[in-house]
Amino acid sequence: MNVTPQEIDRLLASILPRVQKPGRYTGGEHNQVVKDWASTPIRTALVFPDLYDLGMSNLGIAVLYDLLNSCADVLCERSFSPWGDMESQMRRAGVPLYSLETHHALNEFDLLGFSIPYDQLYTNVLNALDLAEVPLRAAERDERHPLVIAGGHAAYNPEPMAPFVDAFVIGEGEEVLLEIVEVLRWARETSARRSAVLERLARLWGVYVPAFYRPFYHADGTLSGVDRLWQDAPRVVLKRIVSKLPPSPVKMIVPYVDIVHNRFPVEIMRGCTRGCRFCQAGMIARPVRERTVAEILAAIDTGLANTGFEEVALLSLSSSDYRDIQKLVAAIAERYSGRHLRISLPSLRIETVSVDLVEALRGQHTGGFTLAPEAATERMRNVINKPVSSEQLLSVSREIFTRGWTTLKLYFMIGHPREELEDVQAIADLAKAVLAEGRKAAGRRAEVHVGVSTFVPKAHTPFQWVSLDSLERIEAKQKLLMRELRDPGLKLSWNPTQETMLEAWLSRGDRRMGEVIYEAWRRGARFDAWQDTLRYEAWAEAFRFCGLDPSFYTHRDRPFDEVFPWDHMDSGVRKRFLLQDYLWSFEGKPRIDCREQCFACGILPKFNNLRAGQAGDAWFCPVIQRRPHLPAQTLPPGSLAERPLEGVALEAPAGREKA
Amino acid sequence: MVQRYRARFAILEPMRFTSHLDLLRTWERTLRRAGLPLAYSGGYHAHPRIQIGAALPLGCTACAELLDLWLEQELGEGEVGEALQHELPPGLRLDRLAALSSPRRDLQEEIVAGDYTAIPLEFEFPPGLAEGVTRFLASSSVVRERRGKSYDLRPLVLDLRILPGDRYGSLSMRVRLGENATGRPDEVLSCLDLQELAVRVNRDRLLLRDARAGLIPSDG
Repeated sequence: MNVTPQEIDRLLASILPRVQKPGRYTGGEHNQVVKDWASTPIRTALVFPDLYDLGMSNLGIAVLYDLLNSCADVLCERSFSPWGDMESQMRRAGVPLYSLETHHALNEFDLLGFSIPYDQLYTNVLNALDLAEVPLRAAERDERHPLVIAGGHAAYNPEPMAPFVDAFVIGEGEEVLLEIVEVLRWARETSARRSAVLERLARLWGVYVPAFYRPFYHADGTLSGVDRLWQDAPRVVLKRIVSKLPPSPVKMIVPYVDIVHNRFPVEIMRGCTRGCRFCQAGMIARPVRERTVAEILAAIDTGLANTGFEEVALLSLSSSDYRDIQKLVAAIAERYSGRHLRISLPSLRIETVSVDLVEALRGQHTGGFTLAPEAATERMRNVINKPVSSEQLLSVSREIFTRGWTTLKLYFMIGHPREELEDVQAIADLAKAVLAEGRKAAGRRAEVHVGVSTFVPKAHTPFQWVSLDSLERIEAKQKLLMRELRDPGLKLSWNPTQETMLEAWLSRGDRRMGEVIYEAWRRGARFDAWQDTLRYEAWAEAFRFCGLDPSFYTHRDRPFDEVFPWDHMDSGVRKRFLLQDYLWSFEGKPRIDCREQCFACGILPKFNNLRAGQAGDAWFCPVIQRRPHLPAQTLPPGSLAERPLEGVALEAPAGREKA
Repeated sequence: MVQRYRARFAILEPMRFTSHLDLLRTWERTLRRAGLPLAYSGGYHAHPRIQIGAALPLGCTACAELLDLWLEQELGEGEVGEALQHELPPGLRLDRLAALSSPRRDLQEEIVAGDYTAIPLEFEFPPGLAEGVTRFLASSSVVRERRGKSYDLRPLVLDLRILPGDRYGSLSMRVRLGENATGRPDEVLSCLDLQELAVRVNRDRLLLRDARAGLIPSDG
């Protein structure tokens, strides 16, 4: 009962002229990879559950697309969530969700890989499965249906989506995805049953198959534990990392339509050593691994020749912490001078934005500058462990404003534990002081855009025990800022509390949350990350229908010994380390950058064999000498797959060709 | 020495829904991939000197579009054309590239009209269409509203006729193109009550005014 590509094309011809920005739905872009459908045995699709405009700006998808297509016997195509108007047209005309490259219905693929960078995309995932005519529940799929896997940062707490996903990839996908492809090859050759495929997947380092686990709860709703339904499934799933960042993709697709980030991206560094207590990315992306300047320059050279983009973006969690950032920016500026190439350097760390760096970026037309002080009093800075002084911020602002920039964007966060109104007042005062610096240099043209987000406690962070700030307090703080930041040179943006609540119950949800997500989707929830389309009532009704109370997830201080729904996902950072850091935050005790001093967060012992294989300073973690009496390990401890697995290579399979 | 070139190109199915600005950006990137030395305008927001002759309405393909571009070096037409051929995206086809001598009028000023063909996809044109066309052509004015402004569509339509075809026949039109006076095919279709019909619209050619020869087709 599959709708053919020809039929889809016929229907699209009438539909596309009627929808907004139809160029999102056509494919056919420069550098897309189209392989012969009939003769390519393994068919995969990467699905980004948001609009094309956002998905095509995502580097993760580009990396995996490149990777999968580099295998001669694999094709990889893309699909994105259609906007509401397109969805209505598709449903009315019977057009299923299809791939952009060849317009094949998604349910014709062997594997659907969802990239989920944040949890507000969950209802879009369900909607995509529904539009693809794939049963939403993993338990209802059989050999006729594609395998549904999901990865991305949201996968570190996979439980809310556990009923709907066959297998999660926890961590970095660059190696494990090839191992998953190997399982698909084996499955094809042996006509394996779906349950056998899932068992094979569960043995891979970094893969979590929720069907083999069942959570059980105390009477009060907190998690008592997680039972393993298949004894060979690992008790805990350790995240997957690569010991050295593989070559950066250089043949990016060039979109026809404008997208959110329309440029050539290069990831210069992965991980972060700062240890900000609110930040999930900093905790789960450890350890820090850099690409070399030479690698990055080569990637940019080839990448620009392949794409013709007018802007290059150097990406990482804190780009100015990249050791050779100065040298890198100068090298790029020089190599492409006269070519009008823009260099974009988001995620700058205030402490490492040197005068020289600002100077090097001057004239690069980087647009606005963005800095993220987060807090404005020393007390709060020590609580959240982001000890950037106001003097540093003002000094850097001065350097920026005096070099021709007239707009500065500042990110602050409210709602942290132990925050008082006077801390919020300090945010307003600091923003105004920065504007004053701007006015000195640029007069009335100076503008400061103040983005104040509401802190939401995240899994796998030192603040994962914390309750969300009360809605009354959040609103009082926002009102204060609105009152104080009225100057025409200031623009304030903040998160409406409904958005915050959604983020909060999803981020620390358990498997029961899956039913809430399903019920919310059934009631029309889609594109929850977009303010205009968030249907809060649908979610409220879904909670009522499921007999659950959202405040159990959002507004509850967790006891120190509570078992969390994500505890069986190991980010490499010990829970005891996080708890200690949380206790330090009570004392307002900051923790310095772990490049200066290793605090034994847990990464090193888990991944020491990978670390030992790299040169001295390739990772920021120190080198630990292996104690001679311990055997060399080929896999980290904690993963059950310590016995050799037939058919599953730990190295890249020999058949893999470089693109 | 800055050298000006004129390219004749086609917009194919993959780029049917590419807007004018995005088309411009696509050309810029193609030129960069080809490694050609684009000339840039001056000023703070320097942009590559490329001028597309006439904006194509979203949803149309086209057979013979024109653009002018400026390079910082005088390179041979063949060399430039070949470099571009290798880097064209799936939605563009380059049919001709010629070096132009300056001074010369803006391409946009030279273009005065365009020919479009609309082909129905699913059903034949409704039976009353021939009459509708006759009525339209017989009117001295056809007032329409677009973006809150009134305008007279009739003088913008220089020719309109139904042509027999393989399946359902087609509607062919010639409309004026230019500043303040651009006839749009979707407006004509709407006027003839065909707005709900699924059609494919193609711009067959542009017409340039030449002082001596009158109208010159872009695909000549």
